Amino acid sequence: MTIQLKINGENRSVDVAPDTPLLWVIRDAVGLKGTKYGCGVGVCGACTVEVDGSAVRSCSVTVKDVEGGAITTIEGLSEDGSHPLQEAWIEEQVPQCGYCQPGMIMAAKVMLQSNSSPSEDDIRSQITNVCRCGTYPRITRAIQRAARST
Amino acid sequence: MTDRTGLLLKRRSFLLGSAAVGAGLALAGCDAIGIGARDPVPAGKLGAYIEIFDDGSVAITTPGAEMGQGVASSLPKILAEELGADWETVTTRLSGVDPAFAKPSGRQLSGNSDAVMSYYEPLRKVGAGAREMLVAAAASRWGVEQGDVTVSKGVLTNSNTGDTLSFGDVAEEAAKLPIPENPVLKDPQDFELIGVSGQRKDIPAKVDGTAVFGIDVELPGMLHAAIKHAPVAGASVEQFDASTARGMPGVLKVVNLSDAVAVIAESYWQAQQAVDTIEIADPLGDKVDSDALKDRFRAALDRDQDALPFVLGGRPPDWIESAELPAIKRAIANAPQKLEFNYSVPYLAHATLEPMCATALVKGDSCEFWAPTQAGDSIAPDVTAATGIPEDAITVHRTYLGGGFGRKNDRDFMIQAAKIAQAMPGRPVKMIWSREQDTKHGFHRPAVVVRSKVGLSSSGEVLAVHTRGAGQPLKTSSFKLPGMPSPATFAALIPEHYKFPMSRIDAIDMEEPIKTTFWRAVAGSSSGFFSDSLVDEIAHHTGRDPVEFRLSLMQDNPRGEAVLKLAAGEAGWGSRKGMGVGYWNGWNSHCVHIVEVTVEEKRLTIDKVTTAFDCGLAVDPDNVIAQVESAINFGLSAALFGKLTWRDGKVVESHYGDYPVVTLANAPQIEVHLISSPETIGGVGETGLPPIAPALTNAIFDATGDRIRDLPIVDSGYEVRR
Repeated sequence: MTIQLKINGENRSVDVAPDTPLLWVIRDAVGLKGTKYGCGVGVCGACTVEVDGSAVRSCSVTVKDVEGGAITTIEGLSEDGSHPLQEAWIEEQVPQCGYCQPGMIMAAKVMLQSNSSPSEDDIRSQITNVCRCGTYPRITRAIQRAARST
Repeated sequence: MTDRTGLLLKRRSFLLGSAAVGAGLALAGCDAIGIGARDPVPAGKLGAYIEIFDDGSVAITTPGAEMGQGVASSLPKILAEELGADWETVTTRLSGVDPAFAKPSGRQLSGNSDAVMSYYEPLRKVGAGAREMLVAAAASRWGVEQGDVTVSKGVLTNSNTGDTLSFGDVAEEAAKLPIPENPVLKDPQDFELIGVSGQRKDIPAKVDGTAVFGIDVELPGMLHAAIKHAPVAGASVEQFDASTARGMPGVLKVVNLSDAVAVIAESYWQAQQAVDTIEIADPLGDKVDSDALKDRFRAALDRDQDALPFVLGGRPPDWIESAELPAIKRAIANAPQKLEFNYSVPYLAHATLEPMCATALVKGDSCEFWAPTQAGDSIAPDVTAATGIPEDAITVHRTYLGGGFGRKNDRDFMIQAAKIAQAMPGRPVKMIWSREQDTKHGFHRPAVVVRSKVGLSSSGEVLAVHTRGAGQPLKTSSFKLPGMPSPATFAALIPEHYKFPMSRIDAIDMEEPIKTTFWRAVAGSSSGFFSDSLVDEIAHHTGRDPVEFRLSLMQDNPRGEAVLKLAAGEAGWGSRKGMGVGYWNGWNSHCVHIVEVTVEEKRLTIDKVTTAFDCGLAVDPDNVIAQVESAINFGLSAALFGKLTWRDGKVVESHYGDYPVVTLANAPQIEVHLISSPETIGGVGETGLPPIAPALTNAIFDATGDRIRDLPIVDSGYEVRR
């Protein structure tokens, strides 16, 4: 069936089964590959996107669940990679393999919307995404750097 | 070179050393996906690595697989240093499988922490050769001696007149010149890039979502496949019921791959839903059980007749041999004091965040891959053996890897992708393993059990140490030294850096149906825990300080002594309760971790890790520190939580929920101190891993008196918190 989505400010209609996980609609029907599959059960956070201001693990909601909602993916964060979080991620040289980082950055974006100056403990308790390369010390520094610059 | 991506470059460009200079357009799209040529690169080795555009900009191809370790930047940087390129404007590319990217050993394979060690000299020569060709072309243009031309940041300068040319201005002429056989390398004192921390070239694409990983490959007309393996370890697919799957939306085909069943569908999600309905029959007979397996391994430790000796170190032919069994048994039996300890580590998953995946297109006799693979030259022979596709008709394009850690050197998923594509000739098919399949059906780090026996004098001097292991060899490597047990499972059970008056390593290879392969730090991932636990136990029983005792065991090891002293000093060794130390020397690098913990009841907090690391030359010091941070958290994940369990032949764990890894909630503060020197080059991806588990358990012992000899730590009742 045809479902209307609003992704990164654009209206898109996709023809998929309504119970398809949002993740696979974003990746394969819309074609935005920055949002990653990691576990499929909402544990690792690699698929994190923003829906109406909340961080959502897109593998664990159906496309029907978010119909009409405003979805932001890593591709919608900035036109040219200049979002303060992206710049901070480069300054701190956070990514290694890089696979988890779009989800990590989206989780950080949503956190900063409600907590503009997070402590290290705030970050540790609120960002639960998995980075298998273990870039956590730099993630913490990058979030605080981005918070300072905004 | 033919275009394999469907995109053609608009700018004119030049492949140095090419016979067909200026005639052809270079490959594009390969900023994201590696070039793969099944013919020898027509441009020769220089052309495979360097492309110079007429605007003077330069693209450099990395010969290694980028899986997080930074070779998409560090290896091109070595070449750019000698080339004299403007690093700020250099773009880097991924390589595919091609003999042009072989190491001096002749192999193309990313593993064993050897990228910089292997490619340092060859890439310097490629860069220096290209620089000499550009200089010669500029000198000819100006009618001056080559010695009158200087190169810096992509600009050629006539030192007589001050005139300048860009690389692009002379690239066409330079490309017609012969490739210098013995170019003059820079004096390392003149290095401007090597040894200086800079920003990695692959990072911008990794923060805006444009980096193309294996799972992101998209090709015209592409189909999707999902997979379900025979659930029981060692079993193949004999009987299965796919009647439901075949009727589901979008499903095109069900394929028996012998180790698994695949569903090919219009979309991945359709394929995954369909494959979930397939029932694969279990085989009859005995099936692996983790408790029984451990009992079997423990019992094997008593079998003197099956225990093969392993060398204590050295290099062929000057091996340092283990003491003979009767001699070491006698020495320990006759010792005034005896110690005996049993240790174990479990099977581990790699748990790369990007699961196994690969895209393949079979057309007629040929097969083309787009995949996140650490492997290179081993892919075609293995695919040929499994599918009959001729070796010389196989092309491999490499994407970024969403983690590798040894697992993505295996060819099982490449073979599966080829077999799936053979069922759909003419259509590219992308296969993705679900997380559950990845956790349960990977090739794993083998479990090892160890018993160490120590003989001490009445005053506490170590007289003899005998460590015996039992464990599984790797299914993916048959390499062995004659008469010895599997090196990838047992090497360094007593590491060369700890010298005792008499030592013996021996071990029993246990044949089990579990798939096993290389895992970050290989045998070091287990041997490091065994050896640095043992050394700590001896220090405790003999009343020695753990740092001072380790120093006393080192001989002719100034780099080891230096990291130990530096880490102890920076950490304030002995200044608090709950400190533990671990040391490892591997891949020609030395690492000491000092871990600080707080333990309340059985609630464990890892407060801090202070590290001293010596890898010799650090091409990019900040990236070396990043790799050490990574090895610490990877090793802590295993030490704290990592364990795969078999019940009735099947793996119990499924995903990061029941196979947890370190997250921000429990990741420690890390402080890394580098010792670098240009005299030698070591690897950086793995050496930081072996010493972290023992440093942690030694710290827990220091805090509590509780000695943990079996990993993971949570199995001893600890709760991990911050």
